[in-house]
Amino acid sequence: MTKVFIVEDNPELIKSITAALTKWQYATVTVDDWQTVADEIVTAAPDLVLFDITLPSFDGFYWMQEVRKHSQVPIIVISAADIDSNVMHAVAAGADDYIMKPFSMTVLVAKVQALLRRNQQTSEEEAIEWGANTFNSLTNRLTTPAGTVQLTPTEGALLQVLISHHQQTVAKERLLEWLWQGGKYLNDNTLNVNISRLRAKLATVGLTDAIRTERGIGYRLVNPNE
Amino acid sequence: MNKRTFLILFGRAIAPVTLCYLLLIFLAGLLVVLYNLPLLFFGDLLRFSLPVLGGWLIFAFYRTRQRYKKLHAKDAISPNNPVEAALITLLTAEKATAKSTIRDLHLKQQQQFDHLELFAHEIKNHLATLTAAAENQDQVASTDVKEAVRHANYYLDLLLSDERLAMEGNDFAFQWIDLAALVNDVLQQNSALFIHKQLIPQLHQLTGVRVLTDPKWLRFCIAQLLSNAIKYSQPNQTIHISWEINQLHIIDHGCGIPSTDLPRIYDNGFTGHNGHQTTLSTGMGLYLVKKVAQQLNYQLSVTSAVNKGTTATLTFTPANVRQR
Repeated sequence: MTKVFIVEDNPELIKSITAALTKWQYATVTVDDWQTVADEIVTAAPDLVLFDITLPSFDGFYWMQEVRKHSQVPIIVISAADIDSNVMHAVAAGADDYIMKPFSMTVLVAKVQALLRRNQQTSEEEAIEWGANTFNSLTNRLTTPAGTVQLTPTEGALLQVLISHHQQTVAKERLLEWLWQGGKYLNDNTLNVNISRLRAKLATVGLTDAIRTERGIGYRLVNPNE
Repeated sequence: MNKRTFLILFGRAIAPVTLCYLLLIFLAGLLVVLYNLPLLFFGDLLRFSLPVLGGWLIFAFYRTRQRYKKLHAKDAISPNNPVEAALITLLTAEKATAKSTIRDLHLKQQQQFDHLELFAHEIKNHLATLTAAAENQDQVASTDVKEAVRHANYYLDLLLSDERLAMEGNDFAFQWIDLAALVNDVLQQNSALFIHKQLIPQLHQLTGVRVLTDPKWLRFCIAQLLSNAIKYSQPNQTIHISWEINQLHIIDHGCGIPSTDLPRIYDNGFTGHNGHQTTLSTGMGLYLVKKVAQQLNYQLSVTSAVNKGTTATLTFTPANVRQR
């Protein structure tokens, strides 16, 4: 299971991040002793580190250098602003990406996944199980007992989000945010169109009605047998 | 010797006594008339008191001169040779520059504080909206919270950028960057803004374009221009981001800027006619972009037509552009 180390002291934030990451089957680890952060990271050997460098009593830049001495683990830095000396120093010290507070969990997860993909830590990400069906996120092919269907990248991204929130309604805004992080700039109308196309394709493999519309809210992927 | 300062000092020194004397003479004259005293009495009074006054005035004059000399004693260095004379000239010049630099810094400080007040006002506005909503209902919709936070955060970021720009010796780090990647980055960073208003961006001819610039400041400028384009667009419109030779255009089809407002859009604090329709305009955005553009290697220009749309253009120096 992919492990993410979170260097953060705000409990609310830790809770939200953990909740978001758990949805994608990532395990999370937090800091135990603030005096030995670098050691804890090296010992935990995570697949990715989320590093908040805005913590006041804590020189994030220094600790990042310490971590980099012993590990090349991908690091996403949480900062306060783009135009921030902290960010520049962090990147110089070896951070791979950064995200600014306040951020939406959608954006964070998208960045985490993008970074993991870049570092090819995601051999598990290729085949996503959903009931008796398998979706390959690299080729965008959906394999069901009734057959295989090829989805477009946008349709594939859509299906992936719906699967990860299986049985739960995903708000339209969240779907759009997710697609945007993947470079697909849709709005409500184009989203509608894509959902229709996806439904049509799902119908060809016996998954008619798998996507339910929640009026005014969003969409929900239901069990194939519902 | 500055005649004007000296005269002011002298005037201040003699004013009380002279006024009292004149007052007393006037009273004496009045009494002479009332009591029908001989005019000779008045004449003698004047004849004897005026010299005393005169003596005192001369004394005051010399005292003021001494005081004046003491005030400017530090300036009164007399050179003993040409080298010293040259040094004194240099020193006086340096002192003048230092004085004007300090004056400029104080002005800048005041200006920055004015900006800070503007930003704080806007941020407090949105926090107040949230508090009011929390007072009126048991639970505040998360969309409302996100909206208010986004607005408050926008001004915080603007404030940070403003302070950063106002600092001397700015940290511009130039490098060759892929423009399409940068624009996409900004679009994704600001996705919530677009989605909220159901707007779609379209990129034209940006692939393969590389520019030499400081990426974080270019990101700031593009984000600012996009934010304006979004502000004035109607829902479901498209915002075009296109590249032409050495210019980046950000085109919206929104309400546009009236020609009467157009020359003043770069004034800090300017809100114009459209400012009354949305609460997001402080005018600081464009002011800062212009400032950044001046310090970096591109120019900003804005054209607009009411109800047709606005085009913001960043023109890069050809030497700083590479196209495949």
